Amino acid sequence: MRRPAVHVDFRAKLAVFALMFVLSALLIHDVSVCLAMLFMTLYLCAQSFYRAGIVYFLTGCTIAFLRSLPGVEGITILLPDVLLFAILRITLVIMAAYAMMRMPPGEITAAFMKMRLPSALALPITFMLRFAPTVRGEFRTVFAALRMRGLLSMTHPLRTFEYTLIPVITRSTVLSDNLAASAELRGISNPGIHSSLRLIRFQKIDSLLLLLAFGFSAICLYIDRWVMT
Amino acid sequence: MIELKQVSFSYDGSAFPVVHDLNLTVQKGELVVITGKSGCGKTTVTRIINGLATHFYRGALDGQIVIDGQNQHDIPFWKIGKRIGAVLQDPSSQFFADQAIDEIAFGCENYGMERHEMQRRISRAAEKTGSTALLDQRLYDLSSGQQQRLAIASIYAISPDIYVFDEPSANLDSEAVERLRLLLGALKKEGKTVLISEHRLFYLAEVADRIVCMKNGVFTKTFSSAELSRLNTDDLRWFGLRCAALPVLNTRAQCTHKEEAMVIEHLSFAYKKTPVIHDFSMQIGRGEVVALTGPNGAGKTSLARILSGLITEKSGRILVEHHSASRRLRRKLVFFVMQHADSQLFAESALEEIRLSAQAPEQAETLLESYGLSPFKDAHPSTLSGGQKQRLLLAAAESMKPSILILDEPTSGLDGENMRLLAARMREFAARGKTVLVITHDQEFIALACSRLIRLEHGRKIFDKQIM
Repeated sequence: MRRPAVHVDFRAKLAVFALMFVLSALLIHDVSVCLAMLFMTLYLCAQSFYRAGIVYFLTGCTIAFLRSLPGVEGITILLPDVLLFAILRITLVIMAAYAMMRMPPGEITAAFMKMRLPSALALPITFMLRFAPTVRGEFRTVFAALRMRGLLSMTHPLRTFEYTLIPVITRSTVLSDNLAASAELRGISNPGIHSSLRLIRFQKIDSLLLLLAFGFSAICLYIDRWVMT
Repeated sequence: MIELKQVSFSYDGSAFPVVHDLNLTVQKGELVVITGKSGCGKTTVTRIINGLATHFYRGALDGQIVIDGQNQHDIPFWKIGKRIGAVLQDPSSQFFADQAIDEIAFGCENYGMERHEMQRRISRAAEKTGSTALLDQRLYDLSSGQQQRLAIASIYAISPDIYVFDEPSANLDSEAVERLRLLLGALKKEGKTVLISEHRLFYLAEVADRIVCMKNGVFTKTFSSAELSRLNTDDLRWFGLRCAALPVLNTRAQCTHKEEAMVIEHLSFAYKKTPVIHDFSMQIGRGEVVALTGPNGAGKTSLARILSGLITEKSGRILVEHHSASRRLRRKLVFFVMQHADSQLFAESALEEIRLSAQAPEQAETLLESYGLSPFKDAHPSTLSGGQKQRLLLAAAESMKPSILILDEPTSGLDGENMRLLAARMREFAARGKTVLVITHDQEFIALACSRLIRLEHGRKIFDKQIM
């Protein structure tokens, strides 16, 4: 069985996600965001997600570099500076979400149960984590179809956006119905105890990770507020 | 045992029942097939039995459903999965996990099984479905046949007494269909009760105890396998059924006399350093309908994507109508109809869909009529049935007047009537001097529509023959 080099408990991952979410809203300077991304790259690499970690980090650095160039107000009309600002911060949050999205669903559900979270909250989150990659795949198919029909146009971005959205919504509705139906038919709504093939245990490594995450976040905030200004 | 007593059902928001006055008894250990035209209510019957119809789709149900002597109404929905395992039409859309082993474990985890019991059941389910070697693999890297086996394994691990399948062969190659047939036989031997909603009947002839035909929401006729095989072509057409035995394809060595529409020379392609197409060469003539077959994962769809200019070849040369064709030119001359019509329809009405990218928008209505879609010209494409969507997409493709049309599994999920309509349309298209390349596993469709057969395995051309 292919296992990550370091197994991190879902609850620790959730805490890191929450921390990065808050940090992305608090950090003003791109350098400090990149620093936080460096930590997240190490976090992903430790779990064997090397490619994702490096790609996200390089994307972040490139965006930060482009924003630092004098007189550059974004990349064309499609990616204005304000959008680049947002993408950079969203990338940081995505890095934290990535490690959760790649977890087995049973482990997530069982961890939620252990956290005594109501199923009304736990089930949609489990579902959302599974659904994100599916929607990404659908976008790819729709873009290919638009290209075939000669409807993918950079000169009419709004029209292209409309054409993209309609089939993605239609297909996503079908797929989400299938996914939810299949989960219901395999007992996801069982109000009783859910078990997990993988061990659900908050270990020393998880505590250490949380300490490091808090420490690194504090350093990023310190640099952002007191060093960079 | 399953018992339906005077069952009628209508979906939420619909005044008319989709199925009505259904009476059916399936004994323990029986394998029963429900068949009929698209939209006749087959899938709804499977949803009624596994509880999705009332609990998930929130429709109105009349009548009684009895599962192993207990009224289904009295069984909590989350518990139904322990008794009735359901495999949906597209296995990839029902996967929750990233890795195969976690997908098999999913149901066991939800029912709170102990870890050692779970591990035992996973091993047994993987062994039974021939998926042991797949346990460590990512689900999205697997072929359709392998995904289908894992979908069954994830149900088998829960160990229900009843299995309900919705068109399990829709996306499978012939080898995977044969594996499925053996697996169904093994389930039956174990005393499991199996109910299958299906268009393709050839692989079920030996294992099915009964074949129940449906039309407009009611059960019309029940056949034994022997009776089904005795039906003539007219009877099959009347019921909208596929053939009970696969037609034999008589082939002879390929001889090319026709004017060349496309020439492919030494084409190679790799995906993330994994070779997909190796040194592939072929010529396709004008007016040919070529079937491209081969196991799932053989590289057929990648080849189609290259030929239609969606992706770039690693090496090799492609000529369309005697000119070296760049990706851009290929996108103009070749049209690729991918799987899942829903992802390829963009307009707000069927007529608008044709006009959207038509070379002659004034002919849109005529084209719509030729595909039998005139009554639906103002309908939103998403409200059409699967067969109608498929035809609308083909009409939209034809409106762009491509020289070459490529279709990926166009008969997946199509009933006999729609499949025959499509075959006739492809022959007509080719008769106008156009070229059609069809990726398909459907031998019945090949026999009806295609003039040539090419088989691809591991990215290499294995044979290329003329169909007589």
